[in-house]
Amino acid sequence: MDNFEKYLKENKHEFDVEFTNKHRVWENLEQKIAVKKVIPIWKNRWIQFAAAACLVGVLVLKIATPNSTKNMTTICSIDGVSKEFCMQINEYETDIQSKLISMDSTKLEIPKEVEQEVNADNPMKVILLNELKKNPNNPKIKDAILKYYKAKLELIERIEEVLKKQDKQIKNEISSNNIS
Amino acid sequence: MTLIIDDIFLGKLKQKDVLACKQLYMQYADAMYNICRRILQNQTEAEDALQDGFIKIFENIHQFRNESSIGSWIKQIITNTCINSLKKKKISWQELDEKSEGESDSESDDKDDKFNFSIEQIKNAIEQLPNGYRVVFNLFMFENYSHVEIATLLEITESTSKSQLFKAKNKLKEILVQSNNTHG
Repeated sequence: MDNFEKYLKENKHEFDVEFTNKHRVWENLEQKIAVKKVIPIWKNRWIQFAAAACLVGVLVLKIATPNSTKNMTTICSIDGVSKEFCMQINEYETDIQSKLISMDSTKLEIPKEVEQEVNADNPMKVILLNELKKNPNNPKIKDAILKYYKAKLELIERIEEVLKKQDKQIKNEISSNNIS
Repeated sequence: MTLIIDDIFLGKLKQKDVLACKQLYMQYADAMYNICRRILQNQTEAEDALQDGFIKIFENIHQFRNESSIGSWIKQIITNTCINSLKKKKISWQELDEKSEGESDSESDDKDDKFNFSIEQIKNAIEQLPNGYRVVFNLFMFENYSHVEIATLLEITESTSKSQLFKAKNKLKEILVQSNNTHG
């Protein structure tokens, strides 16, 4: 080892620089750790989709027993939920109810798969409502609930569309059979 | 205060306990940051590499066996992250002069040299070294890596590592003498 090398090794710490952004880097790290550790359940698209499907099932059940406003009042009755948010939910609920009544009036035959869903519980809704009770003004939870209702409405619309198509096809087949 | 890495603490780290992660980071951040600065030079790049390195540490903590020192394990991950970051910049290791491979690795030339340079002068001179020279020089001088380890880390031959160190030292002295002459 030459003198220069020896000198450098002996004074190694003199060459260190101060890490001025130590705490800022930690803050970035902390956010990343927290995000990786807890992925909020309402952010999972599959869970959103599955829950929406379950809820559609529950709502389809309402075709047989309409006029229930239980869900509508549940969210709006939570302490701390803003009027604006409550109104948004009410709008979705109204749209969903209208769609269901419309489906009911067309006397469309509900498939067995949908009927099976009717009997399933809806854990996603329970989770979201519980989260909302704890954090009534948390924008992420509110956003998840709105997405949930939106998905629910879209699914009902799709089911209605498919049922109508099937119904039309059946009617056409019947009429063509009658002609022949 | 030295951090005691026992099974309980390791368990907390594996569960991504934020407080435990913070303790580990605070214990090693300064030393690891200096490794990154020596390899990457640029402050922002060093901070980014340090952050990426610690994310890897927290994600792979389950792979750490308490048989070895956690400090060495952390140092290894951070050094690799910094070197990978350097490689991404497409810095050609061709600057490691192939002609000098196999050149004398003895440190005989300057055994009796007397150095009258300040730490600041040497620091500035190191910063002026080409990337290839600088990285080998820093890993050997400050991080105590052997030529075999440097060769593995940088994917070069052991003799290349030796010759680069030799050339780095000569270049450094040249820069220092020049700076002394310039500043009178």
